[in-house]
Amino acid sequence: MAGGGGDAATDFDLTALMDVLSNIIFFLMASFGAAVVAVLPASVPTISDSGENDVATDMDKVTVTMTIASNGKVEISAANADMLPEELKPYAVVVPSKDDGLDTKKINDHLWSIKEKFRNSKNIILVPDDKVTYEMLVDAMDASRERHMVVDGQSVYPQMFPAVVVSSLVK
Amino acid sequence: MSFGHHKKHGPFSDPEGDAPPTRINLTALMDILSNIIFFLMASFGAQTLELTSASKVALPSSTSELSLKMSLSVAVGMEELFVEDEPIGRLKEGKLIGLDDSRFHPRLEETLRRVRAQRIAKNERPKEEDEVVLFIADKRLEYETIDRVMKTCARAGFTKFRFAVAKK
Repeated sequence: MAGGGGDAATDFDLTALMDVLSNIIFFLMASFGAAVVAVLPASVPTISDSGENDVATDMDKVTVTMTIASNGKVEISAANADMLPEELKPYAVVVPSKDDGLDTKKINDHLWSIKEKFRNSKNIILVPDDKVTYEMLVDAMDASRERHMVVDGQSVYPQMFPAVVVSSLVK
Repeated sequence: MSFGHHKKHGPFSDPEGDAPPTRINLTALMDILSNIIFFLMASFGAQTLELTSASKVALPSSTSELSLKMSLSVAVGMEELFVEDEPIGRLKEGKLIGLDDSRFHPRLEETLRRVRAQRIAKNERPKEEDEVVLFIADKRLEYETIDRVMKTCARAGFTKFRFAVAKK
């Protein structure tokens, strides 16, 4: 009779397949660990159809502009359409270069002081000089994106200005 | 004193010797391993797919931990410009050759517009990924060149970028 069976159910021996799968997993895990590529989000200025202003308007946020010279000197300023320039003048600084590159520590410190005052800020406009290298631009993005802090013995990385617009001077 | 024959028993065998040996059921473990393999293969594919054209590009290093996502790739080396692995322009000493009077790159713009039109035609609703460029550039390039490429991308409708970087 069809379907009638023997006394024992057929067992597949999965041991060899397990060996193969384990080898594939080890290979993939090793390769995955060696994957060293990450990404940094950025955008370029656009003309808004809705007429929105790129400059912050809420009192708890500012738009930061960072001008980068090819020798590593950086000028930082903050803007808010509803605030007087005099109110934001204390946040405008010039950070000299360090070893012909960016002084990322000082840049990060100053941007953190702005972030602490204007907690909802997240936009930064980077304006590099034509001769600034791409590597220096990425360093500037790193210095402005997050802050490294140690809280209760653990490293934390609060965000500062993750929304980056890369612009250039009008010539 | 006993001189009888003693049968040795394994840990899973029946001391009486009349039951079949115990088999370990590997099916559940196979399921788990298969899932892990699919996850790893998907991640591995996304990491490697977009960077094949960038073999001559020295990426800048960054502390960013954001993982690579698939999108249209534009790669700029010191000598050549690629869109999705297709060479579409040349550079001399890190400067783009073939810019028009407005300092845009016409071939790059034309290629990007074509790719964008194809992608939009394929999807009923434009996805976010359709408007993002995975930007792969050599760390030695000057911003003048980067700016020209990014502005040409923006003119073709791609205003958002993901800069590919090497993890520090």
